Amino acid sequence: MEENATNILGQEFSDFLSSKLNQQFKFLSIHRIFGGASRETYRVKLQDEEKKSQNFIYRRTQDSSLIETDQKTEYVAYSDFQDTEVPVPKLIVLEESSDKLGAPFLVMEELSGVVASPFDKEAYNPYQAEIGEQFWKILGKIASRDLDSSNLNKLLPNKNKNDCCTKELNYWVNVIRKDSIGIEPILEAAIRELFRSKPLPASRLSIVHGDYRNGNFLFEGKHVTGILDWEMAHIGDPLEDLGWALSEIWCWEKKETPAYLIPRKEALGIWTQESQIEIDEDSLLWWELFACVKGLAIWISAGHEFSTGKNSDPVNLFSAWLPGDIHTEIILNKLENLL
Amino acid sequence: MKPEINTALITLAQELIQRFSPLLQDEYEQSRLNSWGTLLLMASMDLDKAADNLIEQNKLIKTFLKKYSRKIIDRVLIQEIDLLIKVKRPKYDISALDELNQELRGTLVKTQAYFEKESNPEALKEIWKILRIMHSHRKVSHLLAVLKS
Repeated sequence: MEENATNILGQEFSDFLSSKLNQQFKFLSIHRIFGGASRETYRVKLQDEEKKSQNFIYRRTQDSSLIETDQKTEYVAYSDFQDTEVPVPKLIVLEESSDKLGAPFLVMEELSGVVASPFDKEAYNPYQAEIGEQFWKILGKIASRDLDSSNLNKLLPNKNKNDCCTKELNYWVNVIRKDSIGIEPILEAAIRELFRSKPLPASRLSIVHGDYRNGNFLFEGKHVTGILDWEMAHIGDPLEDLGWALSEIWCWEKKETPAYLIPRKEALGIWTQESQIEIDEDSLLWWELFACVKGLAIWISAGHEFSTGKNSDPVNLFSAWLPGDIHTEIILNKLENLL
Repeated sequence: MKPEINTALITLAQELIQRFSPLLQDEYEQSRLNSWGTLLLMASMDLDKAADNLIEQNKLIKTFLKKYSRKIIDRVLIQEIDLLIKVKRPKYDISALDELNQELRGTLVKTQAYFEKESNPEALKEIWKILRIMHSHRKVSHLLAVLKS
């Protein structure tokens, strides 16, 4: 979007929020945040009636979205953790129609802190231990969140402990079948293996973040200040998030410390203590292999968006090349070891 | 001899990242241009070996299918393999090699699934060896450190 068009968007956003929150905001600036291909995310600075400036995060659905997810799901998932020990931004508004600003969107207050690249092994140095403890503890809290009072659980009903794995696997294999532009025998071998060797039924149903990893949280010094990017949230097996967060792709250059934080054994100990969920090792291994297939589905989808010209954001090409390559190699290592 | 295409692409990538990107005021546009520079750099590294890699992959799969088709009793699969190993495409342009590569990959997937059902560890080990070589041709993950610098 050209600078002028972006400023018009910022002004329209300011007018919308003024009317919605019944106070007069003055538009100061708008900047698009780089990365993430599922939403267009902007940081908008407005001035309120008391002349104080406020930063808002404005997340718009893209015409072409990498993962087709409902903005309401993301909003509702955030709502489940407002004012809890799981740090999330304060929600302001969800607009599901495209009538107001051309696309559905949600608005949140901006939290302090920075996001690191998931491929930067030094990102959390020297606070890996402190941030690591919080990172795995928060995931444990998400897993143990009571579902009776969960808005997400009300939005996505009819889940069953016995078939979460099959539903998730079928979903992502369908994405692969729809978007693949080539045949990858290594991925096909992983899909066959996952269908052959199912994990145990989930020990409980939990809120699953869906993309819990380094690179999707804010931190400031030694403190985790916000868990972001809930657009793939759903109800399922808590081991799904664990398998995804542990994936070697997120610690490719230092595999002994998942998410470039603390050693695996320590991480699992913290998670178990916080969630009070016992881990079945074989089931976790299944979910870790599943994480590779899900990851590849996402990267394949990105490559498809790029090659069909739907979305020429370089993030899509990068995803198809680099993370796609790493997840393929992780599968190769895992399945070769099974022989 | 003229300067090689990949040399030109590497220089272009460097110019984009080091010369033009700092001129952009907008942080988003700057990150986007840097990403393009990085991707160009990765593409240039792949370019020189692309045709040779596909030729090697196609040869490896064909040799394997030829060797192991005798151990298959599924007639449809045998027929598919027979047809494919007879294919001769003298063209060496990347698109033609890639087209054949995709056909061979498809048949390799079916053959691997067959030997998994039949529990043939010897054939499976050989397939995984081929898959590792094929993966090494497309591998870019080792460039992570280089790309960051």
